[in-house]
Amino acid sequence: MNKSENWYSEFSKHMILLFGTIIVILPFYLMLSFSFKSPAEIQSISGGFFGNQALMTDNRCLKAGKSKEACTMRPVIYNYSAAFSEAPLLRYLLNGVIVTLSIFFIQVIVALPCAYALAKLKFWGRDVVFGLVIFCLLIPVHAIALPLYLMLAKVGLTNTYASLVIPWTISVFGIFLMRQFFKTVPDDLIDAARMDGMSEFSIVWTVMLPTAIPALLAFGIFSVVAHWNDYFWPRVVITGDRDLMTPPLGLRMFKSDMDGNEYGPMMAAATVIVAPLVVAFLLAQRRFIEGITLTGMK
Amino acid sequence: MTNSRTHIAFVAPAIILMLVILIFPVFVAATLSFTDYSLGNKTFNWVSWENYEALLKRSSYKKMFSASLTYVFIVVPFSVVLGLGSALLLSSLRFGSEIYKTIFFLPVMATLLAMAIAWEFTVDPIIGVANATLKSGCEVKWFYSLMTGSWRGGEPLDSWYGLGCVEGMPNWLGDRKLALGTISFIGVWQAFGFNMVLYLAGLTAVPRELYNAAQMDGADTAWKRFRLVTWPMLGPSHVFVVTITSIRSFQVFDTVEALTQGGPSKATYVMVYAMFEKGIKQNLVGIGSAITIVFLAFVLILTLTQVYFVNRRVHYS
Amino acid sequence: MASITLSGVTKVFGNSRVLNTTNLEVADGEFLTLVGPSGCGKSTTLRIIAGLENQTTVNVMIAGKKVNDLRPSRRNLAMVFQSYALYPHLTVRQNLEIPLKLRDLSFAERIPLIWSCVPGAREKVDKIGKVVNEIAATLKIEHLLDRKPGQLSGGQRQRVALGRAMVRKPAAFLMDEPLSNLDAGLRVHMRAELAGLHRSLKTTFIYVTHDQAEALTMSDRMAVMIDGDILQVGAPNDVYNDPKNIRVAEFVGSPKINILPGRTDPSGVLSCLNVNLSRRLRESVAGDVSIGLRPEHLSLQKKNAENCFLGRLTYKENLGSDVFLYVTINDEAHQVIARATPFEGHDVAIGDDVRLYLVPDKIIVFSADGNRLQLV
Repeated sequence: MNKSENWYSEFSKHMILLFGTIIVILPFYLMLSFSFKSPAEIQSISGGFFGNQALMTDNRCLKAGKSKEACTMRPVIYNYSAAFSEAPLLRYLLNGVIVTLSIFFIQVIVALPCAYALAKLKFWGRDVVFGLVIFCLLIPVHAIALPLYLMLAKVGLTNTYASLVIPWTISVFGIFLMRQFFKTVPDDLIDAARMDGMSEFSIVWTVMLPTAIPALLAFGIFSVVAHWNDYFWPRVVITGDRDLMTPPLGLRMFKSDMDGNEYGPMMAAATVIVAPLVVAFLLAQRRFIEGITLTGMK
Repeated sequence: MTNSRTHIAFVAPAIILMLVILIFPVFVAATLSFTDYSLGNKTFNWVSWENYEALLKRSSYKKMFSASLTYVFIVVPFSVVLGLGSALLLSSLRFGSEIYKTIFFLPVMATLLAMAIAWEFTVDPIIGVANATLKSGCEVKWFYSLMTGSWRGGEPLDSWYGLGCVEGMPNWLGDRKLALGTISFIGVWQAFGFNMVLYLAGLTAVPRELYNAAQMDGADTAWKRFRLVTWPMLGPSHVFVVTITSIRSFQVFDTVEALTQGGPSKATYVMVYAMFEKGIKQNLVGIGSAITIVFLAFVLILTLTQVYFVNRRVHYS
Repeated sequence: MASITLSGVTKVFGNSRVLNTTNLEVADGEFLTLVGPSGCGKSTTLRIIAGLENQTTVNVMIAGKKVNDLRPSRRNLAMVFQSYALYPHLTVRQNLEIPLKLRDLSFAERIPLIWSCVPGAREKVDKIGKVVNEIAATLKIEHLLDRKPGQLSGGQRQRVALGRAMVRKPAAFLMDEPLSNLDAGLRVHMRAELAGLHRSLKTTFIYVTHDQAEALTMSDRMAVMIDGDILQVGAPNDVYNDPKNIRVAEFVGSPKINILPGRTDPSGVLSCLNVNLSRRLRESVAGDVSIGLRPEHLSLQKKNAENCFLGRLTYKENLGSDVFLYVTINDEAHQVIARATPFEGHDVAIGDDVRLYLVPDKIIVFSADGNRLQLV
């Protein structure tokens, strides 16, 4: 093999990958671009990436009786302000944060002691419990959605925060993952803590929890990403009450309410919803890839 | 060993939640699938196998199975091959592989519902860039002859592209014949980066000396080394990637609900969407539960196949 | 069977040159060991001979033919890797067959089921099977043929790796630290077996190791390589007794050679730590030199005599057949190791003052820059 041959093959690989990159980036590019452009530019597919940013007048704003000056602005300002004003986008984002964080915390509180018991305590029936965990790993969430919805409806919990959180409080995957991790923690560490007079309860939270931070972080990323992006379950249990909607569901409502030329504001809303995870991902890629491919172990 | 009863306090919450949230609903669904129950009704009737018979007989459910299976059979091979292909390309690059890895992983991270809507606008017949680009290609001679096949003597108007230049480009999501393909395309777009990362992890686990040994043994070409070393050494990754992708493809919902709602004429009526529409939107709990049980059976079969393969074939040492 | 010649290697890794100008000739049928500390470039040299390393500045000749542009598989060499590099998904038999199948069978003949339709394929496949059986018999691994590498012990894998190298009857064997993954007992056993194998095959062996004991015990000649340079090539005895460079002297031999500072007066007479050695350099240069003394050339002396050091015993290492005495001399400024018989070793205790006699004939003198200086 000589050098020019090498460079030729390197070059053709990059060509293929660049083509792939274009396809992968395309919707992201359009989403951002739409969120910058005026309705006219979107309709006529013109204006490049940023649009011309010519001043435009917001008709709704005029109808609301405000002065012409107050209603004239750059398209990018219009799109993003409309995203926040026409739909309770801030509320959606807040709901997203509340729901994903409560899910994660409850998952940890339930899973960690159970994982510790399965990994480090010897008790009658331990293998049965672990078998149950493995069995539950086989059950996909979509398969229990309908009965769970009926159960929640029966007790009158649909359209509440609780209904968004309850089904995810138990993460068998989290139990499994943390158990595998705790198995690698040396017994000596726990015995030393017992010698120091710690209760099993404080061993879990003051000895095991700190050692498990890396695994917990990976699981946290996995859990937060999954539930921030989840659309199916909120769609099932939240019907109508906008104040409870999570970001994807809110965006979906935005889409069904859309009249005419709301592409710009809608893509501005989409950008705001997608941005937090994408930015976090770009900042901590290795951890994110690690966390999300964790499902690989499932 | 401790004599205390602490372990009960530790495992009890998890066990109770598992039983109530995961196990019990499966039995509820199984039971309800033999009834005509509706939410709000005080009573219900046992209908024996009626719901399942409907699944087998009625044409809309035949379309459901066909849509789900077609989706799986498009998304799995494409996303697996693209995932493996890009992993192989990236691992052989001299520079830049990290950047591509980041970019290809973006769709896995991003909120699928938002990206589905962005795709919808991309392939929109009026404001979509996809069709605008295709249309502008009609004027470019070499592109036109390439796409229509007229460079090898084909009649331009016999091809979809030639026709599209005259009558307008296809309506990717509105056309009964194209909608499922378009939804599948989005599925592939979203999934292949995940598979790529799994394959990349698999590739780093292949010892470099094996490639050297293959070279010494006479595997001169990259293809021979791929056949002798890479492909078999990726055995565990293959099993994992294929089953994970299949299970996820069976669960497709977001794109269908947001873009086509099962249409046009049930072309994209996939199982989870059907379950949602029947069981929740239309409150036909019996039939919805029957779909749930069939769906669960599909997923269990896939998972058990995976377990079987993991235990049997691909364990080398 | 073939001779192998290397000339003019410069292998650059990033910014640091790892391999410098290196000339090496391996005679037909010779067992040559490339030995040196890890990172010295010996594996790279081996990989250049094999063709696994891309490089442009070196000429590799095999049997008088330049092979620079030949692919690894066309050079008719076989290699045994440190990790054995057996294909884990194939049985031992299939592992042994691979080199022959890739070389002798066409594309169609390698496809399952199809091959039986190709005329002449059956004879070829039968022949391959026969060769594999013969090799398996030679290495006594017939009973393992249907197992996978994962089910074998380290020693068994080692044999299979050897077998895979042998099936092609290559012009030369290249071995990259093949014994380093075995436990100590097996390693010593395999040394003898490899040497025996070399005698019966009469093929060229190039053997890379960091273990100077392997080099000393097995090879016809050894090449000592340090920091990318081949410093000395020669028979093990010559390299041990007559090192050309202080780094070679320090690398070869266990325990390590003792190095003490010495001086020459203007007439070229040597002294070491104020002990006059009554030896002269062939070319008299006044100044500082280093004096090397093997542990076996220092012995305990009861009476005061010439060529003796006074010192204090700090540690005794009892190996059963030998006792190594660690002695500090000159108020603990220097430590030397001396070999003693168990009987002698028994007589002294840690903390004793001892007198060490050095054999003047055996001292090895190096100049300040490390090169060997000859004595009269």
